[in-house]
Amino acid sequence: MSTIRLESQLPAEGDQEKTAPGLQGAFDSSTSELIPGTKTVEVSSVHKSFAGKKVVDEFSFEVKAGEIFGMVGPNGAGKTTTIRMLMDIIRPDSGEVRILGEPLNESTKDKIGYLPEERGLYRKVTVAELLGYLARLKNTTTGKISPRIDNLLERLGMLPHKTKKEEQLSRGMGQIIQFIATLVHDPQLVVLDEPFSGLNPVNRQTLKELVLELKNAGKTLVLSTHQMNEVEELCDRVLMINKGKVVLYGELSEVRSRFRNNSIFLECEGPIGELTGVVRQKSHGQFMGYFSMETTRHRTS
Amino acid sequence: MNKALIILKHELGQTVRRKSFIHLTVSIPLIAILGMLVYQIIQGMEAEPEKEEERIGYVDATGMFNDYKEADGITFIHYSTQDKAKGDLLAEEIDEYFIIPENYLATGQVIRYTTERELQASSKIRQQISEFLLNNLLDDKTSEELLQRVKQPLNLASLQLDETTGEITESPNPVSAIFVPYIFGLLFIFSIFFTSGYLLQSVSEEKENRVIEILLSSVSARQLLAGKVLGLGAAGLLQIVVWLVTIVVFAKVASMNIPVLSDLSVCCLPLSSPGWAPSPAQPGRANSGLACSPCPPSCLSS
Repeated sequence: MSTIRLESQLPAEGDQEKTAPGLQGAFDSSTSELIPGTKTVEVSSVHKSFAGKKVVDEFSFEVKAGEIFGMVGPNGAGKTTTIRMLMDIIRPDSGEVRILGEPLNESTKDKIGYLPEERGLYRKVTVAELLGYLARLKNTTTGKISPRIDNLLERLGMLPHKTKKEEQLSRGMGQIIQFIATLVHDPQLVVLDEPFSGLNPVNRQTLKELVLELKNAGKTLVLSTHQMNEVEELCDRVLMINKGKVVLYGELSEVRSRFRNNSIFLECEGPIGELTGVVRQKSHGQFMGYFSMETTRHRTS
Repeated sequence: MNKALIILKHELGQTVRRKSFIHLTVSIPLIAILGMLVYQIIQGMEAEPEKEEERIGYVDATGMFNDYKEADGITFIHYSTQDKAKGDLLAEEIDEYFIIPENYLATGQVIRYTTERELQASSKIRQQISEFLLNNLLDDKTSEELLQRVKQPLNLASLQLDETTGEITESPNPVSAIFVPYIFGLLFIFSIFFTSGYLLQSVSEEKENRVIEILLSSVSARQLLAGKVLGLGAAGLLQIVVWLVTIVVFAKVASMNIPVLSDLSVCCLPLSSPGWAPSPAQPGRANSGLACSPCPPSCLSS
């Protein structure tokens, strides 16, 4: 006898909590220069290959001001490469990337906060020195650096550790400092590459609250993840990629409305048996795809 | 502010606070000071009371050398036979003696006897005996002025003429012209070696700590490298300045305490002798055209 557990992966609209009471006020919406709805990021026909292998194949998408844009896909899909091209760390083979209405340059770099997937800090430098240095590299006005560092450290409970070196902090504390380093210059666009990977549950929740508060403050966020539930929880629009190709791109609500009634995940122990309406089935490794008469795919694991 | 400048300041600040940098910068002066202390200690252990006057015997088979027996710090004592001179030497009545044979004028040979173990006679002894011989040989045969010129025939002053105008140009101190580039070159090589090591360490640390991607999201690779190279280069120059100041101070102190160094005075360095000129003739001292004017230690304090 088999048991089947049905679980909807797409919560209904309005389910998500979009306030972070403990962190409200950390980001000043008055500093946002973005007009909601304008294009903050424009990626046009971007292509990138490494050693002849297409890693990013003709990507085109836009990120609107004030939204949280999610890039979702499995490992090796091309998320990090795309983000590195957004940050001008690597150059695309072809295509164009425009940030805040212009090609990426020194001026626009200063308006971007970036949390890379591989992240770390100087181990022998104090928290205050490190944050000050990174803020100055973003051309932050000298007078604003110290108050802003104190403000962020205080709101995230890290003020007592201001004079400590990174090597004296726990891993979780280091993660918080990395988030603060991303935001210390009050960026207009925040790019987070796999922000929740490797985090403990407390910091994961803290970062989610931060992300939502940034959105409430009018900032634009781009985040990548391979967890669909994180995208659903936080993002307004989504770009789903796989093996360097865009699979899905659009409003999360639209995606939800298109696939809510047709796509379910089944987790079962033993044979699933016969399903009503299934006319065809196809194996995808550990997954099994079932197709109804409407050619909508059902997956089971 | 230019981002390369921000990186420069950061790298400079971080480097000068590194333990390895501090150890290296301080160790060279410490080694110099230790070397000087060791020298002083050894000198103190080996120091013998200076003789007030040296007594040198001689046996003259020519009969030509009877005058000028008193020279600066030396008394020449005439012996009629070698046995007497030898007896006094063994009795430590005299420090050494020499024999002027009958055929001296033809050969110029003088035979010297001493109880000291030495490779060769010291330059001071050679000069004193030479002057004794010369004074006696030319006595009553020439004027005092000519005698001085025979003793010291060359006091060379070299001046450089401009190839086009033919006017005298100010030539730099030849010693500083030769040695200062060597010293600076050596210091720069050291500095380049050490700072390139710091650069490698800095870049690998940033890669290891995974900070490099955060930095590259704020600055270009060119700015990052320029800031690092300039910052670490500035740290290297700072190290050189510390070492140079140490060399000057050390040389000043050492030249007061170590006689050998007083002749190799640091007056040759441009730091202390901006206006070098050929030195005037000094009585009793050979003056080579290439020699730097011997400068007393006090020249450093001016």
